[in-house]
Amino acid sequence: MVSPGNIRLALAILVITAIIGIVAAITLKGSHQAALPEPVSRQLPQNIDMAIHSARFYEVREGRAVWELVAKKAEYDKSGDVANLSDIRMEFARTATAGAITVTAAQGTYSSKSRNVALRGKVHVVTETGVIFDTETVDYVAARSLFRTSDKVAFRQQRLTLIARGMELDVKSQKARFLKDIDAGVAGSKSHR
Amino acid sequence: AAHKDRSSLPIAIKANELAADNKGKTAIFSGKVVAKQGDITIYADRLTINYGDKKNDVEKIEADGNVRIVQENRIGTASHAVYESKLGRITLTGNPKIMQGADTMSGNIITYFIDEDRSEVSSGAGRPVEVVIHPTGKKSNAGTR
Repeated sequence: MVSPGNIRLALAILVITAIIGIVAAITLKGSHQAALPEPVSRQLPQNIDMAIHSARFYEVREGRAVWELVAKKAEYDKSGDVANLSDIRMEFARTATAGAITVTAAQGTYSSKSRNVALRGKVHVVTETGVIFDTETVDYVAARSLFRTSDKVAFRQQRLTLIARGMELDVKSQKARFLKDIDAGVAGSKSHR
Repeated sequence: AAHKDRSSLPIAIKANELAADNKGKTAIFSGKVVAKQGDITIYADRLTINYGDKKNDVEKIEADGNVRIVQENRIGTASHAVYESKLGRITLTGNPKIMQGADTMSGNIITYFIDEDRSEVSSGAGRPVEVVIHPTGKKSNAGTR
């Protein structure tokens, strides 16, 4: 006959074994979880939903590329309309009436809805004929094919150099209008007759 | 005396606005324009820089509207002026007038030679040449045609 003492002993051993098993399981699971890489969505800033490296954007009109923009990184927020860009290069194709234009900037945004581009930080514009603009902020208004800033801008065209505040550059006609406080100089020509 | 080519002198320009036409090779300054080159100052409502065909060449500078040109004690006024810095001369049209001290000269077209203290005035379009020289004033070598 099995004595009550033995039954109690067996039960105690059973309980202790169970506790040890549970503790082991928890410890194993804990270490296993740490080894798993964090899910991608948790690496990006909170408001960013998707990030693309070496992103390329185009604007095409009537089957012809108007401009191409390359960004080292493009981050999309939840709405998916606006891409936050960094390390930007934007090239406007040469047309029958105007030469190519190259624009570089540190950061910016591209709105897929309006197709507008906002460029911020060391904005540098160079036209095919060597006209140069430097400023800190510029907005490209797609509907008007127009670059626009209200910031200070430095400009060089052949021997003419100037500093002004506020500028509009029409990409098609390549006419630039400087809006305020023009301080310009025409360098003397090198040749003497 | 031969004219002096002033195109090697830099020109400083202040204005309210500028329209730079990259293809048309012009830069149009407007609004209280003040342009200085050496001892010459040009005031005007509008100043247009015309680039030449050769790269970095400034062919001529045109001033329009309330044009006033000041060089030491010589003042020229007109509604239009063309400054050719290579030839060292300014051609004034549109009621042109030159004042030097108390002496004055007016006509249809006045050509103002910058480095020769000399101006030429011609009549036309119903505007006779008028030269007023005050005996006590400094003689200005006014040629007439």
